[in-house]
Amino acid sequence: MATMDIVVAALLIAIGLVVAWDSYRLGSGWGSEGPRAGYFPLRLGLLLAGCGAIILGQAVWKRKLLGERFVEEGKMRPVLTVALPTVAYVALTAWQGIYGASALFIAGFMIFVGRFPWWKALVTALTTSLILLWMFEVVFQTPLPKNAADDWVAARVQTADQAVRNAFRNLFGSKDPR
Amino acid sequence: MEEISLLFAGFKTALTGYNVWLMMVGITVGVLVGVLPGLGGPNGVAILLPLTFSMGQTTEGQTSAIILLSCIYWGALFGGAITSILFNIPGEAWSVATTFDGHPLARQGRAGEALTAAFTGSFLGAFFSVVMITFAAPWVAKFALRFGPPEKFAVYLLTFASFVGVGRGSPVKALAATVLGFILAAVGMDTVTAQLRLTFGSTHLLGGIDFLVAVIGLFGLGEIFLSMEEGLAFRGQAAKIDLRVVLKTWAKLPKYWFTVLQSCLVGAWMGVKPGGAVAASFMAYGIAKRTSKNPDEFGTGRLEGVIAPETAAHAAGTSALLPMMTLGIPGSATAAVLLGGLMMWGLQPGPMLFVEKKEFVWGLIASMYLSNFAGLIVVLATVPLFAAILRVPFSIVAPIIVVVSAVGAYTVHSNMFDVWLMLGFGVVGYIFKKLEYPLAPMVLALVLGDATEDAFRQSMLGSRGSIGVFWGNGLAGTLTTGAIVLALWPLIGNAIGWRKRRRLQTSKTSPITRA
Repeated sequence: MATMDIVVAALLIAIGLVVAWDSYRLGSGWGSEGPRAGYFPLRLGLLLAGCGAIILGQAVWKRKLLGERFVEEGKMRPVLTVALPTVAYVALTAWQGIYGASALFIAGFMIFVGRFPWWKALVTALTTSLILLWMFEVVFQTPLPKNAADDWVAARVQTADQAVRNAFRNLFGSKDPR
Repeated sequence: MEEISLLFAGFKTALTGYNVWLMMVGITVGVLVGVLPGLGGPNGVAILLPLTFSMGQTTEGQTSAIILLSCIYWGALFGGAITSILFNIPGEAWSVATTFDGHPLARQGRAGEALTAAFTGSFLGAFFSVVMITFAAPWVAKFALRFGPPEKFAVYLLTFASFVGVGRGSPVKALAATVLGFILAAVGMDTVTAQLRLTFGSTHLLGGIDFLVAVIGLFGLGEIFLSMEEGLAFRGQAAKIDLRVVLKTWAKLPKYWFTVLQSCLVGAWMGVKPGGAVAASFMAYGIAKRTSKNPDEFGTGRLEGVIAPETAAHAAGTSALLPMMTLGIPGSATAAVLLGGLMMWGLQPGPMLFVEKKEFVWGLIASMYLSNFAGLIVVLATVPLFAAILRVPFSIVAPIIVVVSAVGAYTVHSNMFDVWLMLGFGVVGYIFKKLEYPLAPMVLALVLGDATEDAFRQSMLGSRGSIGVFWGNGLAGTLTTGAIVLALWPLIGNAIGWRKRRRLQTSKTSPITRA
């Protein structure tokens, strides 16, 4: 714990100093329009660096008293088993759209972490992605990142949605089910 | 009694079929969000906020949107009790105290009783606070209309100082988290001079960092990483609630009227101050224990031990909306997100809201009466459903929550960069939680950063750079002095404690416990 505390405190000092430097560059004094753009951030940066220094001091002191580790042995793995796939997932979303990436992520996680049979994973993953696609592309009309294949599916879902709506309208009069 | 007629007008606004439907949806989503690990009040509301952009065009739409979002908040408050009692896992920090007696009750097969008591207590606590808001809010707003920039800045200062001064953890870390929030809020175009700040040439950062993205990452992803480390395996108690159990428990409740009343008072009082709900629930539990005839039985499954923290947490969570509506200062992280929502719909939270948007304000207050009643019914009816959802393995829930978070971050500005940003905030959230940096003041600073800086610059402009403006009149002076005393409180407390300790001359180091 103390080691990580020290690393984070050092980072805070660094961030604080960078912020202060950038604000100073921008002008942190008094201008014709009152305090200039860097006035507030400069002081914030210095304050952050100051806090970081105190935390750093406390952490160094604490480590002397009791040596601890940030994540206990054997627990780093579970954190990474969710963190690394999440990074891969975001990268895949940026490249190939969110629907395929989501399905792959959910299925992969269920198979490799949850030890589910592949068909269960596949059904869950595809259902989730399909519901997502229906909700955002059709119901909310808020497009999410997608590739050509998703476009094709979205068009089919749109048609199906319209067909269900029409069926509802015919059955229950003119009211839209939504 | 102008409030009563305004309130009735509010009921007329809130009581449309569409709004009641939104209430039900909001409460159900809220309970779900409160029950699942990795989702909670703040990021549940944050994920759904972008979907309300189109609703926020008209006053009616704004009222409907705030009803939907506030109901998610109420639902999350209710939902926290379910996991605490059945699974001994507090879904939210304010329901930690509920586990002390709630889970033992569930293990004795009295889960239904405990849940009914918790929900009813929550309802009573919320009701108490809503009544308080109904009568106090117009008065506070009228008072706050006199605030100029120096007073406004002093109130902001007081808000942040109370996080630093009376938080549960390290005050330096609270200060660092707050300052970091302010710095993140400063990124992008400066509102006064239109200069670019802290963007370091990146075009992605031109528009600044959206607090919604930060909230989704900090609270959502961060929590998932944390849950993964703790290796969540839900082993819960069965929950059976039927009308007989509910009625039987209600028949017992009048006996605990004093516990309920004192918890209401503690909650309503603590909730007005930022970060109140968590502290209030612990405090109410402690007071109930101390005033009980048999305090030793607490922790073994006393009904008061469930009622006290839940009543206080809900009272505090509700009264957190009082400063949000009247002063523009949210009392909790979720209230901060709600406040951000108001700003996005083009509303300026604060006293002017009571003058210019009467319909909206009173619609919201009226909806608080209705939705807490609706919430009580909904949760009592759906407990078995949510208990079943909790049995879904974490390896299915975790990736789905990650996907939902990514979608939520993307929809804020339809921007892929925000999803990367959310990922970064997820890592920050995980590390900060591990190292006990409080997240709530950081979110608050991120939301209020620009408003605070504007108030500061306007004050300084008025006084030509003299810091004395913050003591320029009695009101501003009192607030500023109060803020400084509050912020330095840990130092004062330390000095007293240090002198005491020196007298005791003990060199033992206390073990570090994790809250």
